[in-house]
Amino acid sequence: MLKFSSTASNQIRYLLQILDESNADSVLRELRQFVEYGVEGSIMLLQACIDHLNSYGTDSKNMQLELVVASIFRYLLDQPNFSTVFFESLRNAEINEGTLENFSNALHLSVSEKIAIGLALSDSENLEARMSGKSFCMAQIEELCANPVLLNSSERIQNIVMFLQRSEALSKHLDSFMQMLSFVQSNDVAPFVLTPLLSDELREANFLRNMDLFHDSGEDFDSILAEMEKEMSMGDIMKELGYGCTVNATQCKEILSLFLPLTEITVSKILGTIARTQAGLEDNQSMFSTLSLALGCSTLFDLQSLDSWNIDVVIDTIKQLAPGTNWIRVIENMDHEGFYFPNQEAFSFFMTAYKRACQEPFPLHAICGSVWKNTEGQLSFLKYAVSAPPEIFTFAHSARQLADIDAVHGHKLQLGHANHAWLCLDLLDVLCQLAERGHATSVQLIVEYPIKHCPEVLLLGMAHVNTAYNLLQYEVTFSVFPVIVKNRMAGSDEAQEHGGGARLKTRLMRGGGPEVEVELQGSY
Amino acid sequence: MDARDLSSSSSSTAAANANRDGSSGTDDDAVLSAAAALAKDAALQFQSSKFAECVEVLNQLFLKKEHDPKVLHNIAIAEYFRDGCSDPKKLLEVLNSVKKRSEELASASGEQVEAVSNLGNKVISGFKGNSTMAHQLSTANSSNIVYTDEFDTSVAILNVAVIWFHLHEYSKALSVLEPLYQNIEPIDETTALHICLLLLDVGLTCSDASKSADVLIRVERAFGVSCMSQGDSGNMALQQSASLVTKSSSFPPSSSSATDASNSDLAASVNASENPLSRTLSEETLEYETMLSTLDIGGQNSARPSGLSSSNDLSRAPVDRPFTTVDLKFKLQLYKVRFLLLTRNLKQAKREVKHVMNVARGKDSSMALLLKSHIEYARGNFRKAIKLLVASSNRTDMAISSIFNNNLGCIYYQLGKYHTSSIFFSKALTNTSSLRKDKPLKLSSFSQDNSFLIIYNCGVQHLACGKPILAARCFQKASLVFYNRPLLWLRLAECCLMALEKGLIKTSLAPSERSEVRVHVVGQGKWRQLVMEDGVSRNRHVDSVERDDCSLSSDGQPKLSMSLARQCLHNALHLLNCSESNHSNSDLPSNSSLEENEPSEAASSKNSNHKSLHNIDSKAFTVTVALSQVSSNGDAREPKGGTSQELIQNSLSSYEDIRRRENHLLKQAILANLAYVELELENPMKSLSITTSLLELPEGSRIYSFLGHVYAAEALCLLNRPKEAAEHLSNYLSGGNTVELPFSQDDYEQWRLERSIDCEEFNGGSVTANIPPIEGSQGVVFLKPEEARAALYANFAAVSAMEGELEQAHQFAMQALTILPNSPEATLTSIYVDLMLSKSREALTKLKQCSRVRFLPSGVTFNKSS
Repeated sequence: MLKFSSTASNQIRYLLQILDESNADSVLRELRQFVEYGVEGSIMLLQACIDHLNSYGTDSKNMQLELVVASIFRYLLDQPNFSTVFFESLRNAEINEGTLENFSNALHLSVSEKIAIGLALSDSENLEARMSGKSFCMAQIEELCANPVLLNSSERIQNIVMFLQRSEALSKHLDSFMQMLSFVQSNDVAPFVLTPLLSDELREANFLRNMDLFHDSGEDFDSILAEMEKEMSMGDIMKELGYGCTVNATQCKEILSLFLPLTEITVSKILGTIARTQAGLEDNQSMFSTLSLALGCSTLFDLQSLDSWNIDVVIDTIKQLAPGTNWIRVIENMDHEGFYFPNQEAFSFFMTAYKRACQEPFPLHAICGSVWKNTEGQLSFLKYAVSAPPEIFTFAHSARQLADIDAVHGHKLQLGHANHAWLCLDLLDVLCQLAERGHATSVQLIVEYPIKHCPEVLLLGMAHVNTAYNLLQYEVTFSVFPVIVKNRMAGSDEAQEHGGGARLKTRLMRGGGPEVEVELQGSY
Repeated sequence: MDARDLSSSSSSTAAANANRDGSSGTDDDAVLSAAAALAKDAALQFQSSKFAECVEVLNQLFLKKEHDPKVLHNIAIAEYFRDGCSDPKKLLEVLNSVKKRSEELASASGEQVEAVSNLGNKVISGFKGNSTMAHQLSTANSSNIVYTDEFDTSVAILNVAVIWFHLHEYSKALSVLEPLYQNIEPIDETTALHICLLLLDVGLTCSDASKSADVLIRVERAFGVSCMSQGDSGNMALQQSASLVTKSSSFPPSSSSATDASNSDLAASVNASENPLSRTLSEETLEYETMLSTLDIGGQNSARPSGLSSSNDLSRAPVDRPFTTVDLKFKLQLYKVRFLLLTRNLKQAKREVKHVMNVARGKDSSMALLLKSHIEYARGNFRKAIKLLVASSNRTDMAISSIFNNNLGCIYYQLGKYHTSSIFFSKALTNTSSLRKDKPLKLSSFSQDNSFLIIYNCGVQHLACGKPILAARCFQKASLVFYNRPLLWLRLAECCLMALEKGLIKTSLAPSERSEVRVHVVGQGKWRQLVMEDGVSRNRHVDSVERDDCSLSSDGQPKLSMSLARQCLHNALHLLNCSESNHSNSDLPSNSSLEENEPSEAASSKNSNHKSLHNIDSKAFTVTVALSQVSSNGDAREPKGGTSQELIQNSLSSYEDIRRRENHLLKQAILANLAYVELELENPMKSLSITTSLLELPEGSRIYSFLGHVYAAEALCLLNRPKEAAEHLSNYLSGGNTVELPFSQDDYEQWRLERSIDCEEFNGGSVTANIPPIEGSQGVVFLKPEEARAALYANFAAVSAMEGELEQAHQFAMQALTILPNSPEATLTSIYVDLMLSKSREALTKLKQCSRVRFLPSGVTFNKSS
């Protein structure tokens, strides 16, 4: 096994060694990449640079080296973890104000960069380093106050202020620093993160400037408001209000009208929510009635207690409020956070809603066309879909079906579920992919049924699917193949069975690719 | 709103008018009398809302009395009203210059007076001394006092404070008022009362309980008592009762000429007119604020719907005098209720509010109802709070309906109906937005515009709904006003952390992705290999790429990042330390043992360690989300005071206890978050020093100390000091290989229940079931104790693996997996151990079963490799 640290540091040293005028840019770029390896890489990089600088000195010949090291140092200085990197790189070096001064001179650091060094050291665990960091920092801040320059990093300003406020002795410099700040940066509204640190005068100026922008900020409020209204989640609100919102069409309309226009995404979320919560929601009748009271709704109907959503009311209301709803698109938007079927009832409930809303066959591509972001939700859908009776859900209209089943064999193979689930190649495809995204266990539970009841069909189907690891395909093959062979062996007409087995094998070779072939031959 | 101003302003001058009438006979000097007449005229015009005419008259007066700052002051005020209260900034400038000018004149004349003290009357009092009112002291007063009165800046300062108050700049208002309050005796009574009341408003708005208590006691003593002595006889003008008080004080009442009188009256009248306004507004804001703090720190805060109602009060029934004794008593009572609410002395508040209802009999009781609603809200009796709220308000006024909606939003939020509450918050914002559309813009629109408070509430609500980006926008907007609240900055940091958690931060992977085990399938057939990705190289700097600072993207929206989180937490810590004001040197603790350690190459185990920690701490912030309602147990042993003063003081001291506890918890939350953020930024050294401070805090909660140890261990691992890391973890190791629960179920339940404490008090403990758990569906839930133990096992496994103790690592990993079968960290460690022991078949099986694994086609090409 190659050791990262030794390899990396060799490479860094090599790069520094070969550095010359012609390759400076590319070397710099390569060196910077080591920062990407996190704190370990950064420390190694800085350490190597400092060593190199120390041993080769700073004569004119090494102008390039100096420039490259300075550039790398500045790059690291801007990283959020500079203090750790800097201190760890200097672990073996002696740190005092003199060395810090020499170091910064060698790299031609600006006052603000020197302050950053001092601040970094003032965090250190090492008392000596901390003290020298502090006094170095103090000297630089005084210098800065004497010769103001623009500090363009709000984080550095904040660090300086916090540093100055740490102790009584330092806080006397705070005022002059603040003055310097207001002098230098007054031309712009200070970044909002700095507001708590600003002096009152600066804040006042800031505030008044903001007030001048009152019109704008008013628009700002309005844009936030618009965003909020967009983000409002009707489904979640209905869940919070409980079944009471669907007690009748008027009531349901009143609530849903709060969120016009009802887009397909909204409708999709509503459907998802009500399916998930089709039972077991606590009775929130009073919640709903207080809401109506608060909203000033005129109509308050009999408060009969519901134990589920009134799906007809919901769908009819949606159809009424958004007559142009494209229900296929609604289903296509099912891949959203929070979509999940806890049980078979929820699934059936959802399908009832769909049937009420739309006469078209269910858009299968939406659930097994690709892997969802919400894989849990997709699995829960598929789990109940494959075992649903055909009158509730069917895969019969799927576009990619296992063809010429009958040709495989003289007599019909078992097809498993009557809803044609296991003939749907898209379903198998998506199950195989889900298995390789950490859901192997759940997917195996789903395919348990076909393994038992229609192993041939499953095997044939699997042969069409190719994925990165072919995890599920292997598992299925391993468990199904022996079963098939055993069945066939035990059958009466041996010769015919043998032929069938051979044909099965060639198909697998065609569909599944070489790996499957290898495995099959092995296990045969 | 204008109409209200005017009516009340005219009322306040009425008494002064009478005075002036009485004094008119004594005028001698022609110039003087002319000036006096003009002043009187101006006052009359002002009272009858003819501001343009008033300005004209004042300008004539100005010709006669050129350098008189008071005339300037009055011109500014009158012009301001003439222009429809539209340019507060300009008024602010003028008032400040008036104040400066008065001070200059005062010091100049002071010197003069020294020289000619005997002739004083001629030189300066010449034009004003004679025209004193009949019943006031004669010019025999020492001229010094005359001058201080003459150049009295208190009215101008008060007006400045009023404007700041309207603009929601409370700390500014406070800093302006404070010096006046400290030296209140010489100030005339009406102004003094206004100062006190405004200060009360400011104090209550800023949740400054001790300031409020101080003022409240003082006002009660000075005015309340005299009210009592007058009995409820009714319309005794306050000026009179107040003058009683001043007489008893050692200062002689000021003498002034008619002009002066009219001048100061005018000024005072403006105050008076603005003051009620400001008060009403302030109270509205307070109301909101309450809500916002209720959202945040639990039921602690007072609702102060009172403002509301007082505005109603004034608008509906303009009284003839500024305050009748009954009015004043009523007002003070309201302030007291607000104070009690602030200090969470709910039982007393309830008692006092009943009292208010009695005093208010026959008056508009909407304010009292609102207060009652707030008390019920604070007690967790939300349904009742809704009823009272609905009963209290007329919702035709936009400003009031925004309050109404906001309060409802708060109530629904507390009921755990976060999404429903967003309906109300957005309604409230719509209300204020329509207020803002009124043109031209007025000061009153500024102060009635509580958008900042509502938007803060929106932020809290969106955070609870798991929408960190929108929440951050809200908080950023609210920071214009609430920049000095540590909680605001903590919340912003939480937004960043939540965004990180959800993978919304650019260039970062969501932890769910990061804790995913990515396995590359390389090669085919027999030569197929599985290559596991090294997590370390993927967990690179979260946001080192975008360093263009200032944390705002081009469109002014906050760009959430870990750097921003760090800055926010620093702000929060800074503000908290300031508020504690004990300058305990927060220098970082010094333990200077730096050990050299062999860099470890156990990348996978290290990685897993890293991750398991992430797993834990990514949830840290929920703790702080749930920080809310630090035990408001305070009410349980709520102070029972005999006299009003004792009551106030007892409430104050128990409140200060509560605050201390809250701040303590807040500090732990901030430090824990900061340590996590530093880890995320790969800055382990800093993280280590923060965890050390966290662990050094006395009486820290066990949850935070758990986080502290775990973060410290991770930081030490990153610094290649696994031995020390193991020491941190071994705190939880009890004998052999058993890990004890890092915190108990009780600790865990504590903050879950804290929220319902109020209502427990009310309903006898059985209510908890009705209160939905705080952690809403979208909010991230903190680890349960058992899960925390699993995380510790996983960490032990990783540390042992790093140290080469494979058998032990295996044991620990297995224990972690029995608790959390899907823990990717533990799985990875055990896979690592298997591989080290050459048990690749077992490793493969585990890999296939791991729920976080993801197989990827290989991106590796072998062409270039040599």
